[in-house]
Amino acid sequence: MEELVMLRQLIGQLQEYVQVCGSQPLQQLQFPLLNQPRWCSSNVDDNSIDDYYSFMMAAGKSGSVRILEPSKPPPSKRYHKERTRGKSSGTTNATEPLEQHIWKDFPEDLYEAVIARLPIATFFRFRSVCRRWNSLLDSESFAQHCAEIPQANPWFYTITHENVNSGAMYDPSLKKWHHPMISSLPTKLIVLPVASAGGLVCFLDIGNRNFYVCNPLNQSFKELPARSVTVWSHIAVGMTMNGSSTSGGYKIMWVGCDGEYEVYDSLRNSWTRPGSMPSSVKLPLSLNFRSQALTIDSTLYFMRSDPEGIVSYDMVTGVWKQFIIPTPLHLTDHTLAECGGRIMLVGLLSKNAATCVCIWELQKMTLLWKEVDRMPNIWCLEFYGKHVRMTCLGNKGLLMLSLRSRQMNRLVTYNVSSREWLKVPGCVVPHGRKRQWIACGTSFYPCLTAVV
Amino acid sequence: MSTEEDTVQEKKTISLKTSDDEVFELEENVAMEFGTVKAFFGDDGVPRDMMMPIPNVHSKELTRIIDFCTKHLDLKPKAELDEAGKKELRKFYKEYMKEDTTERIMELILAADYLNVNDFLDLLNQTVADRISNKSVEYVRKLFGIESDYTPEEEEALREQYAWAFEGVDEDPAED
Repeated sequence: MEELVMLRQLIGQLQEYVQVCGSQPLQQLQFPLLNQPRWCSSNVDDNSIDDYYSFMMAAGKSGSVRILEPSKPPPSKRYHKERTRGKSSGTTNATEPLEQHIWKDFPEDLYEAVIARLPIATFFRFRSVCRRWNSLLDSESFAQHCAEIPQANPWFYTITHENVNSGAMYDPSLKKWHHPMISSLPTKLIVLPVASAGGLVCFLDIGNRNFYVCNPLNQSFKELPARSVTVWSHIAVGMTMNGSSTSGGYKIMWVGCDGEYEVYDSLRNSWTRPGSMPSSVKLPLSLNFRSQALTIDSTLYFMRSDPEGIVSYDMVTGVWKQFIIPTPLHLTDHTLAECGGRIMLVGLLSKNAATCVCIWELQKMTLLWKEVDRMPNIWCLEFYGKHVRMTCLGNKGLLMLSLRSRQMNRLVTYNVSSREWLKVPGCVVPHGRKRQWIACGTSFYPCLTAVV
Repeated sequence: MSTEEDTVQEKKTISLKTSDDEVFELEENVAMEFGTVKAFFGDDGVPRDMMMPIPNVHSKELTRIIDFCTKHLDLKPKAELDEAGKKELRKFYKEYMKEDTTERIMELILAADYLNVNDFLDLLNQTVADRISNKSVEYVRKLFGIESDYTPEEEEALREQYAWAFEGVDEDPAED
């Protein structure tokens, strides 16, 4: 009986989810859920649920994953036992094991500088090298090293149509998909990533009720306190950091079409209402919910229509501004993006049967959009004559575009500063072969040491 | 020679004495790339003609560090001028450590760390990181001579937890 109630609730949420996210035919979405009514209970067939439970048991704690605690204090790191000094090999073969004397002299903290430069996946793999390497996330000196490495490309945290419960993360530098399990995210609700800052991702459940913040890399997780509203209407969300890292705190803001808004401050762990929307911002605020909010320094930018343009909110001063900017013609599925302080617009331009992805840049002096780039023609041809929908995941310098028609889902990344278009390999779960359809997601700068 | 005569010389040089008692004379601008040397001489105070001992650095490493700094000093301003300069600097970084064994790089890291040569240290650290980035856990243990202090159960649990990170790893080279 309880299962039926939960199932109904889920279907209700799912219908909303379909409206928000995708043009996927409903049957394809419902299939995995309806055929597994036991999804809500503890013995299920679905592989991902199995994985979740099996490593919950391995971790031995409920609701969060921890490294197994050693039963005795970790031994001091052991170097190789004394061996007779050999001559150093003169070959240029880079895979030779190291000479012992190098080893004895090599201070441990010099490793940290090397490890901080490893790709994220490698870092996680090498946590099993020894206890010392595993505990690096807790080391301040390591965090310092990480902070000094220039920011790489952002990663993408996405939700797939096939498995709405766990994310698929894309690493554009290695062109690899990873499927981590964030065990602390609620599994009985569908939660969607809506914003990110400083390596933390903010999730909102599909009923627009509760916020969650987590770092997908180190499982640091928090459910935010409840908001002071009783009507759960559609909202747009933005996130900013107070300083240069999340240790200085962060803020999350939601705004609704009626002009209501609230700001969450992580340092005080509470929501406040800084004021009301000024009269310069026309209400109702017809927000473009497909477009994620931009963050440039401490200001959030939201796209609106009627009138067409952008509204901005400065998290520090609390000031709202409205900019009237006409949207280019024949444009659909448009979203805002930013790169180095420049505000961009990405959208589908459809003329007759031809569809193309176009990029515009905002001319700040004239408040007009100017076309600056287009997806290569040869890729656009694939969509000729087809009804295409586009979702833009991420809006910080590197964009992932999910282009969907009835039969296919093409994924492309666009680098705003280098103007490079790259194809994204299909997202396939481990031990699977079928490509997953990407529903929605956000980009985040991977930060091993950010905590909620 | 008196100090006054020294300062009349055209090129200012700094003398460094290595662990194997070799004395190197470097141009001052190259020597000042070494944070330790810069701190030693300070803005004033210690006269520049005084020889600075660097007992933790062998002449072999110092020669290489001087080589890097000289080339780097030449390329860096060009890189700030135009795209071609940037490209040349990137190429320099890519090629400079190609022929060195990982062991040699570790020796250089020790020396560069002691002398506080940050640009070279960044390159050395990144080179090692790049070389091991696709390797297995066993390979890294062997390379650095680390013995695992995990129990087999703990190690298994870690591998399961981070299973996603273990995909697509290079095969270890065959045992000798």
